Amino acid sequence: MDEPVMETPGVDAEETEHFKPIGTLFVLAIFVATIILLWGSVYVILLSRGVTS
Amino acid sequence: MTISIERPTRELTDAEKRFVGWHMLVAIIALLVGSIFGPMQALQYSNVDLYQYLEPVIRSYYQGLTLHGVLNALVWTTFFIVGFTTLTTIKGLARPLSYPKVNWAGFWVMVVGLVTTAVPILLNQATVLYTFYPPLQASWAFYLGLTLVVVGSWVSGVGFFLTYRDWRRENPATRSPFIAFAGVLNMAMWQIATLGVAVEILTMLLPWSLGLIDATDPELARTYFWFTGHPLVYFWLLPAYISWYGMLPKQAGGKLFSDSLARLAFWLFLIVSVPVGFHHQFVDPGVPTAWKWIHATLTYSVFFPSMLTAFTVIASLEYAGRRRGGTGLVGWIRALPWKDPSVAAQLLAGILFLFGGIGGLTNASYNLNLIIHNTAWVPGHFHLTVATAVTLSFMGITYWLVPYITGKQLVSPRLALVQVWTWFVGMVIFSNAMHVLGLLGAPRRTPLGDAPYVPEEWNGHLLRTSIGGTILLVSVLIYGWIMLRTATGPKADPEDVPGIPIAESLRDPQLTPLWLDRFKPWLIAAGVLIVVAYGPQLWDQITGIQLNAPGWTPW
Repeated sequence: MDEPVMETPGVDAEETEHFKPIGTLFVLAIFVATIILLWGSVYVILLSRGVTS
Repeated sequence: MTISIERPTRELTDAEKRFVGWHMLVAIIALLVGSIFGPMQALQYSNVDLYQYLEPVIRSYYQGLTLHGVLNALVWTTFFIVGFTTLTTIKGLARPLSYPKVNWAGFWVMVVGLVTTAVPILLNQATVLYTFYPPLQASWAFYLGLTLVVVGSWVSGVGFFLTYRDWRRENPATRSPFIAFAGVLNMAMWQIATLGVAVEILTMLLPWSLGLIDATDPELARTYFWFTGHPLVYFWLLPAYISWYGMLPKQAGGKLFSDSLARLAFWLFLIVSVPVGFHHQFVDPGVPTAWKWIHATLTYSVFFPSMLTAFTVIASLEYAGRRRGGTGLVGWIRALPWKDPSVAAQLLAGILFLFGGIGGLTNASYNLNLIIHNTAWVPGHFHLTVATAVTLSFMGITYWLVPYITGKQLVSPRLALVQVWTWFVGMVIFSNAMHVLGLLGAPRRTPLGDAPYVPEEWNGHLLRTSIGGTILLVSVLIYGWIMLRTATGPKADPEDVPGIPIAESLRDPQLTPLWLDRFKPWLIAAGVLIVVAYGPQLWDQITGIQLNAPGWTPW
């Protein structure tokens, strides 16, 4: 089932040591923004129902 | 000075594979049988009542819901996890179980417990749902059976601990292999967590169901239950995390980004997964507000190891994707081996789990919880966690594990891919509809197809729930067929049988700090936090116990 791994030029021991997960940080930034957006939307529902008034 | 240590490898023997296989057999049967009832609930939302065709065997919506919850949330998970931990312990430590008879004893106690639980459920004498909240009352056999399932898992856990202890004695200077370490840690967390439900059953529910006491205290019982109930979620999740951290990177063609971060996340889960149960009891009048606030705060602390997990797993996948030629900020995602059903299952499980995490934060927020408490949002949420992050990951694991232990080839990887994607699509439709219904105020655990109060605006979402549930049924039937055909197919050439994928770490695990590889301080910390977070309130509830609720059997 395993697909062959394509070893690309430029990925070597040095790159392994200095691998910077930039894409990961980008994905997590989107995730945090989504958390704020969706959590906030439920909070707006809470406010619209007057629970805290 | 660091010492690089040559790590031995060892494959499971045929007897060990059979032992793991027995766990998987029970688990998968439980999944298949339990999953039949899920779509029946979903279809009931659209007034399609299939339960009438199951009478007199299944007599009510609630009996079916009990079967669905117990078989899928408790039996499928527990048997899979104990079997999977057997594999990770043996393979990780590269040694046999020290006392295999102990582990066999654990397995058979679990099986006896399962049968003892199943009989009263099938006889409609335990229609109490999987949370078995009193004053709903079940037959004593139901409580005894559940106790045996838990005790059996404890016995198996002891078998893992003894094996780990023996390995440690032989390898005092070696960092424990991650998959074995994490599996043993999960079993330790489980032993601590299940003390709550053990006390609940043995001191309250069992004597009550046997008629030794006339009434019970639902508030105290719920507190005991949720002592176990929330870490139960992590007992389910951590084996999926073991695969995401320790196996998936290898399957994707990469390495684990950080052995240290992985271990730190697991230790933090051990510490903070138990003392958070009151966030399930935000509307319970018997729990003081201050204690609810303390548990809410501790629940937020679970966000930290969760984000550690998200970062480490995604970084490991990014490394794999870039090794496969992926470029750019997100191009590496496309480069991952999406055609491998085992990989695709776990990637899709992880994607939906991100949304499950967001829902979890909402549940944990004291004021927001009032919007969604006891609504359809809650099953919508835990179908993203236990039914997708956990179940879809476990399905993905079985796509290599069942061929490995049977010496067969996976039947139709292409169909397996269809199964994985139908589960994902079905769950997106189902879960989104349930979340929206919850926000609109639809109650959970209610046959809404019969409810006279359903407003017009719910109807479209109820229909979506039914459609999603039906797709999920198709998916699980495909899964059952693939498993059956794989297990009963001809033996494959050994070269065509997948091995156990073990991901190397980018850095030598021997560089992981020693304090991340020692159990004692973390177990003490976990115990102290539990005493602080639960002790005073448990003392108040126990000393103020009010045995005034008689049993109730409405269905």
